[in-house]
Amino acid sequence: MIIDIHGYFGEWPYWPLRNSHEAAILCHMDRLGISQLAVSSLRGIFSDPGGGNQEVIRLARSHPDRFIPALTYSPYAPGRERYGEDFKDLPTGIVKLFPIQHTYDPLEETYIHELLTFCGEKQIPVMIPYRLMMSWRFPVFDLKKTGRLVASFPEVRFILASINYLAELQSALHIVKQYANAYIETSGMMSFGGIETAVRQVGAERMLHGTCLPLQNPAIGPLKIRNASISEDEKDMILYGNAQKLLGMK
Amino acid sequence: MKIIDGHVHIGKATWCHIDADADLLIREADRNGIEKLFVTDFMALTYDMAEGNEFLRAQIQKYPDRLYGYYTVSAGRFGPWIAGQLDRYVSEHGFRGLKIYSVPPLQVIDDPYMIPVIAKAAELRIPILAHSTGPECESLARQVPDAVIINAHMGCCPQAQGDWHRSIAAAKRYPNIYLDTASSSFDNNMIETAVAEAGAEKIIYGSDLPLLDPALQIAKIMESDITSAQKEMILSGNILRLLSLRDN
Repeated sequence: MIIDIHGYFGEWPYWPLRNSHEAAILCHMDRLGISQLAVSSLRGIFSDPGGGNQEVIRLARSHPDRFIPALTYSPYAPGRERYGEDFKDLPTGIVKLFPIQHTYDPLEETYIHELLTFCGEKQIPVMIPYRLMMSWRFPVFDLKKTGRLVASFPEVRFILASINYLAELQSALHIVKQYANAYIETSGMMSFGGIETAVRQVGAERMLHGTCLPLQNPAIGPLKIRNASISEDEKDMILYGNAQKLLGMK
Repeated sequence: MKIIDGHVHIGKATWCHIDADADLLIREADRNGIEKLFVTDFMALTYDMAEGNEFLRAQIQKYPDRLYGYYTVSAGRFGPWIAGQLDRYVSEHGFRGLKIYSVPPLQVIDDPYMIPVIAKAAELRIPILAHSTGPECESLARQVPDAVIINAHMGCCPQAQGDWHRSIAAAKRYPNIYLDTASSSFDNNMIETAVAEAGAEKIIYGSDLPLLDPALQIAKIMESDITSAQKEMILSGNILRLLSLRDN
């Protein structure tokens, strides 16, 4: 079994994206043995968070056993007042924040603090991608700010996403080590021995498998876990066990 | 499928926390079915060319049928001495390529000082692995049309800001520019676009071991939507063809 905590669908403004809509994404998932994908709408990132969230909810309702809704909110965009309503009838889901693309500082926004408080009360995990996908083209969000959010909202489980190697991996692992409410997903980890390093430093129980599909080739996601020199139990935790616990699926 | 890795590192580098020797490279090559590796030295790239290339030479001798060297240059601004050393390492020690590194403004390759080194590589008929941007490769290709330039990481490095589109455009426009696939980027449609626009014959598999994981880099090719013949070209055929230029 594999749960993918980090995926998208929709249009991509920068270059032609293959296989970025529902049917193709399901094909990817079937081919790779990904039973469930936490998915966000690219419309929600680039244009209309409210509209994007409605797309996600429709998608999750049409395939409730395959798609986990990952909804995004911005203090400055339509749909920001809907988070209570949106999550009311959803069996599970996550919130994803994109402060760079939505142009705000989450440390300064009262709206974000209220949203995080809600997520803590409802046990909804919150993902903050360090970058949109693992590519040197994209600006990165200050990990120190992520660390401060993690520290300030201990009831919220945060997922640090799209982290690669060297200093950024060390900084992210430092946060995960320091705070019991921080986790790290694997879609951006490309270094030789990166998975092993993370397991050694924070434990497999704090790691979540992600692919960033369809922005990245999803075949790499499960491969890097299966290839890692860690135990089979640790691989299972990362590939699906931790996500099941985090999302209240067990 | 035969796999030859066109982009591997050895030696010590403080910036990327690496201390690798030939034994590590061969161990990982065996684990991943990689037959041969073409190696550049970190110390030569970041500290001392003389000591670094000498270390590389000695390490290669431990596995002469598996490891091949890129004479590694930290900066062209050390002068004409470099072209002489390049000649010596190729002619006397069997090095098979040149590695150059662009991290402006300290390490600059599109620079008058570098052109004699590029010209020497062209004269020796060896490929040049250039950690650089697409435009930098284009500039070198224009100035030394006989040079064979491999754009390392195909634009997917911080200096090139991940712009593989620009690197593909360079490889499409210039017959003597090639693309190496070693990088942290696994972008949707990247390899397919490179094959469609530049041609599979212009793409060379590399892993950036021991910075990156060769298993994932191989999967980047194997999991692309291209033909088996194209995968074979990328994984071994193209680098073998470039290296045979010197023998012919």
